[in-house]
Amino acid sequence: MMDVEPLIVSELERMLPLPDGGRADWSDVLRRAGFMRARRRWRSVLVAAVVVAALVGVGVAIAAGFGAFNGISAAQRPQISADRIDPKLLAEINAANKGSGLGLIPDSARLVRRLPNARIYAVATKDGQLCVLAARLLNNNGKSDAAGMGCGSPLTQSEPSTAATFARNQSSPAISWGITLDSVTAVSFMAGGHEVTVPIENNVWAYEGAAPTHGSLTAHFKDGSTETIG
Amino acid sequence: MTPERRATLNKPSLSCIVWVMAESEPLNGELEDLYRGRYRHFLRVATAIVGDETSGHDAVQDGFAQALREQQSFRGEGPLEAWVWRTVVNAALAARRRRAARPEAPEAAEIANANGHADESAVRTWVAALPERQRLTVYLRYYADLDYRAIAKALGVEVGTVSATLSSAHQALRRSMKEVER
Repeated sequence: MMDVEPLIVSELERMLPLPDGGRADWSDVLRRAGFMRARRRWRSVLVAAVVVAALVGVGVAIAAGFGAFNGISAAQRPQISADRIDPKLLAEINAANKGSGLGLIPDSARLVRRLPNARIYAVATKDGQLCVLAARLLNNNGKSDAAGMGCGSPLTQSEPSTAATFARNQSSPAISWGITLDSVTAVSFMAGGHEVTVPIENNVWAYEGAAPTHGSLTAHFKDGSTETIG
Repeated sequence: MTPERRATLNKPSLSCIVWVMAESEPLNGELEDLYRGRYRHFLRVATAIVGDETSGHDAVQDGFAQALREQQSFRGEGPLEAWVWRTVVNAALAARRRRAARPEAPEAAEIANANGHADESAVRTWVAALPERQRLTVYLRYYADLDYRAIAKALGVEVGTVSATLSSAHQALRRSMKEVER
């Protein structure tokens, strides 16, 4: 029997070649859909965030409310302009947490690490909690306008790292991050069935790939010791 | 020996406030990527259905606009692209129906005049004679380069139906070629 597929392919191609894409106009699609203005809303999403919490036993607070940063050198400095949280984002944080008594101190924000797809801030609260804010996360709209934050008690030697994960959708790799004490050089955890070890830079670890199993995260200290949290 | 200390990780608690700013239409980005990456293929199929490129472009735009508006109904049971193909094909079929209903408008010329050339080949005769479902299947297979599963999702039929439809279409082409040879 004759294989007619090659003939079909060539003749269909001849009859109607692939057109050029000059007419493509996504903004026109948005207009037709009635989406000319992007509609955004804040939505609580569980992003598998875990913030290690404990009381500080030692250390000197560098300012009122900044005890939250004990052991985090990258955050212990005067605020510079780059540290300031975008006012719009700050307003949305406050609105989202209205009534929770969060008490975030905007002036305490310190940008501790810039990542390709996130900016990691340490922020203190009025009651001395450490909050880790990840801003400029890549959102589903292709823009870097997602953010996530977790708050808890300051880090300690026994609970020396925070951990959080965000994935913009099920098919995209997750981004995971955490803030650690100065004495931590790396963290390791299971992700995608493998053990992953991530070095610390500016008190921050970050990993892009399969979402970690945060039930067990091991901090590696400079002195060779480890602390497994989980 | 490396000392190891164990501690209990505090579980997420009320003091752990986590939120993220999410798009209320979470598929917008994926739909835009699909549009930008595959616009030319969508346009080709829509043009083949409607009969001219301008109307084909309108059908693509309307199909994607509908996909944006109704993205909440996408259940993820198949590829997003197949789901969008369904809306675009439906938009193109609706455009063709509207066009046919206009008394002054000529019947959609299908792909015969889409590139401005008359074509008397066996394939041309074959395409014109195909029933609509077979024709759509052919377009999606050969103009959009979709696999059988995606075609099935796009047309709302079983994968086996796609296979049988293409097989029937091929047989019809063989017959058409024999007639042309005579």
